[in-house]
Amino acid sequence: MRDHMQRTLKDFTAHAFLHGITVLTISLTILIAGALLLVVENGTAVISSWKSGVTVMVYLHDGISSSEVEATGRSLETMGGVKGATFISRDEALTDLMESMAGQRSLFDDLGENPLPDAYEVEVSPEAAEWSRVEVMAAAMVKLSAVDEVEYGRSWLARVSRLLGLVELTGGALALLFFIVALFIVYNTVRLALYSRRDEIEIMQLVGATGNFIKMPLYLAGIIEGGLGALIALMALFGAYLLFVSKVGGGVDDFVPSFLSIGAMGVVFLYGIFVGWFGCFLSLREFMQETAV
Amino acid sequence: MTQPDNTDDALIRLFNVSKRFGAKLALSNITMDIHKGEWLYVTGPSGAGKSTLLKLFYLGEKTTSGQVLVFGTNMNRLARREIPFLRRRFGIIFQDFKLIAHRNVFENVALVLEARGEPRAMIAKRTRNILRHAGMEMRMNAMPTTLSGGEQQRVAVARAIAGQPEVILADEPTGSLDPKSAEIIIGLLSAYHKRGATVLVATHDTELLARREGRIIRLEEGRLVSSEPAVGEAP
Repeated sequence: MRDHMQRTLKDFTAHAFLHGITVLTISLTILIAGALLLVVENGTAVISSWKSGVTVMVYLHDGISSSEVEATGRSLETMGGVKGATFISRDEALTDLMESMAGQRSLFDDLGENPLPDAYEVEVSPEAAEWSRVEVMAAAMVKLSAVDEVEYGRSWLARVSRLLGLVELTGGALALLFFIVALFIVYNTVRLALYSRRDEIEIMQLVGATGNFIKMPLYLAGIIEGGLGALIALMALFGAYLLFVSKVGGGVDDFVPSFLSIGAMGVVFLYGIFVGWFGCFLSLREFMQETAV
Repeated sequence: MTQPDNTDDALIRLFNVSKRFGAKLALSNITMDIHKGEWLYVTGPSGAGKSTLLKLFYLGEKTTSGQVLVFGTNMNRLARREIPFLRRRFGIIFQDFKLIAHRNVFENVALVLEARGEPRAMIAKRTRNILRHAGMEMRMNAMPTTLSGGEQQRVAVARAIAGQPEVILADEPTGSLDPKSAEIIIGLLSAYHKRGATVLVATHDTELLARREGRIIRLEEGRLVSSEPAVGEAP
């Protein structure tokens, strides 16, 4: 293996331009795919952070007994898609309201009796935070005897969620497409590189070199090119990400986009290696069949 | 049709061998033996099938019909993975030298031994010895493109004999050389032949043939038309 590696490195210096072009091609295609992956990852993060904040306010009738309040709470908590239900008494609600409107305290001076109802704040579990499911859940809640009204007015969230879902799907599909494009570009680049070395390979075959002896440095070169291309792409992507964050900063809801997770970076790096190896495998299989008898 | 002579020292045997490239018949019904230690010239006009005949021996081409036995093995039945090991028993020389342009003289010759997985120290020692023998030791760091045609062919001969093959196949080895360089190449091949190797030279160089070191077979339009024994040998 040491000999193969030495021959590979020697070959890198002998065909520096050819290898350089291959690395550059791999890094460019992986950069595009990686950028799409970054959009998808951040889009997913935005959606899940928003989904985790979906709540339904359940207002109760006036004058119901504490046992009815407790029973309603239990019913709400055992409903499918409900993460938890927090009771907010009418007094707590008023205190909160007054605190939030501390500047206009005089508004409450002539209030007399507290007009706010007792309520439950029902937190919807993220996996159930689809608009259609929330609608169904709300319809079930309003049927409970102690419930007067249900409010789940963040319909804009549903629309944005659907939009981001679309972005996620499209981005994912495009990233996949670019990864496939990367594979074919690498395959063709390696094939061209092999054709430019056709005479050399033919001479090796004539002096009795085994397929392994001929192919091993080419595979190693493919793997190194793929790994190097992926590393360059990740570094370039990180640079672009830093630039973007410094210029744009926090976007919607002060959401700061994050860079690819360690797992995603690992996948991109491994994909680079795979692309280098597989491009080499496909080209070599075809090439050796053409050159051998 | 000539019959093989059935001698036990036949290294290569051909039985009714034909080779067709599309509509063109390159070799037609060839039957012959090549013996161990023999020097054989294969001659004939361009396109007669000389190069094709040589290629059949190291599986550079396969027959369309007929049988080729090399070192007792039928080439039609040789597994693909065995081809490199067959080729290690041949040293092949071409008119256009076929040196690797980005490897220097030493590396071109050493490649044969590297491909066999020989130890580094042995590769270096043997390569130097062979280059010294070929008169190319002083130029072992030179790149092929900086060498004259004669020098390149000397490197090619050094590469061919580096693995100590049993058979040398030389396809027009002097075809693009001046008489003095041609003399040196034939001298190198002759020296290796004297060590017991079998040498097959495809040529239409009349000066070379006039030396009559060995047997001459003549091909015309793919057919074997004559076989003349070496001077001093019984016909």
